[in-house]
Amino acid sequence: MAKHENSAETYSIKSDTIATDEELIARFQKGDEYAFDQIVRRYKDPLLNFVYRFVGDTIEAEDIVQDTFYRVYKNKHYYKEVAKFSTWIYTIAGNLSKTELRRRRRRKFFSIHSDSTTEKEYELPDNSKNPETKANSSVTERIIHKAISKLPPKFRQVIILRDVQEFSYEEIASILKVPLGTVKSRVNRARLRLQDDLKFLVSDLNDMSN
Amino acid sequence: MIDCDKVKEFISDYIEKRLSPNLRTELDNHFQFCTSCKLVVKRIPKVQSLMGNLISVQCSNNFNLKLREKIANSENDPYVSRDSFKKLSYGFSFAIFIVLIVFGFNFFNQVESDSNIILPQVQNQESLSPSTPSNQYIKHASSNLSQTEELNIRTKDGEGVYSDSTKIKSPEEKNPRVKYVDSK
Repeated sequence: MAKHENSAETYSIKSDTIATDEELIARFQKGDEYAFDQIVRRYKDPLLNFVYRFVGDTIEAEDIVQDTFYRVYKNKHYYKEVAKFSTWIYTIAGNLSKTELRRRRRRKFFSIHSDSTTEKEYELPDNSKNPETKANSSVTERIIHKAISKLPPKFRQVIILRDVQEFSYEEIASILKVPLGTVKSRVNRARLRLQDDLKFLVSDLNDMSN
Repeated sequence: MIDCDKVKEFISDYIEKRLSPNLRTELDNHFQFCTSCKLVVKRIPKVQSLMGNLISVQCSNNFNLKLREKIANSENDPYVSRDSFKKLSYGFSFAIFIVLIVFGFNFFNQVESDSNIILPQVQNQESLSPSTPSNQYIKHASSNLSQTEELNIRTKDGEGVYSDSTKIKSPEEKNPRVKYVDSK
């Protein structure tokens, strides 16, 4: 099962697991506000993880996720059941993230100080492990995060959807509205770049395991 | 024999076991003697596993509250969706198009009616030689010299300069004596 589906289940209550996303949005289209709350509960964290890995800042990512739900709320009647709801909502979030990146690029271009948010330290959530493991995982996390943020946006988006969110190639193609072959090629190139950037980290792990 | 660049093209498919048996065998053969490609094929699953185990971030506690506030505020402030913006822009373009057509039509009508007035006058003027006195009157109409003879001609027969110039003129009329006096 894909991670985005796992996460959706984790944050759902018993009644949510019965209703599919498509059923919830159909209920919401008929005016059931509670169905919208359930959608928010299901998707807010998976979406936040996707957007955070893409834009690299938790506060901005949360704003984008808020905006995504706001658009779902306002444009609920535009959703047609020909596509999966998850595809639709991820498309909205992806587009908003791309817009944010473009805006940031423009800001960077017109700013005198070019060191903007992409290079800043990321605030990571507190994980309750022993301090040494915590420190190690935090460093590893930062290294991986930096490697991901170094990728061009079109590669970054596909690799997050594929290897972090665990979407299928077909789902990614319909989220990004690009051909399946393009998705596969981008995923492949992103993986090649990442393994090159993270080879010291992977080699270390390899040595430790041996 | 398959080269390294070609192998890298298929490396994800190889890892995810999406290759045809023949191509897979070809890649396996390549990995037997190419250590760099073999390393790449070993590293990618490790990177994938690292990516899959990234720490999951969570929304702030007041996320739902903020969202509800945003939605409530938007009730007062009407939201213009992308589609409605598109519709508005199409409508606006159409309105501009209609206005342009109407103005264009009016303009051509105006030009046509003007040419109907001017054309006979131009034809009349073409019949005159450039050195005829009537032309000279027109040329100097805005000068500070008053045209006494011209005024006399107009008052005599009550016709304009152009209609006067079309008449078959006597030699005297053709070369009228023009007297310029300073208006000051």
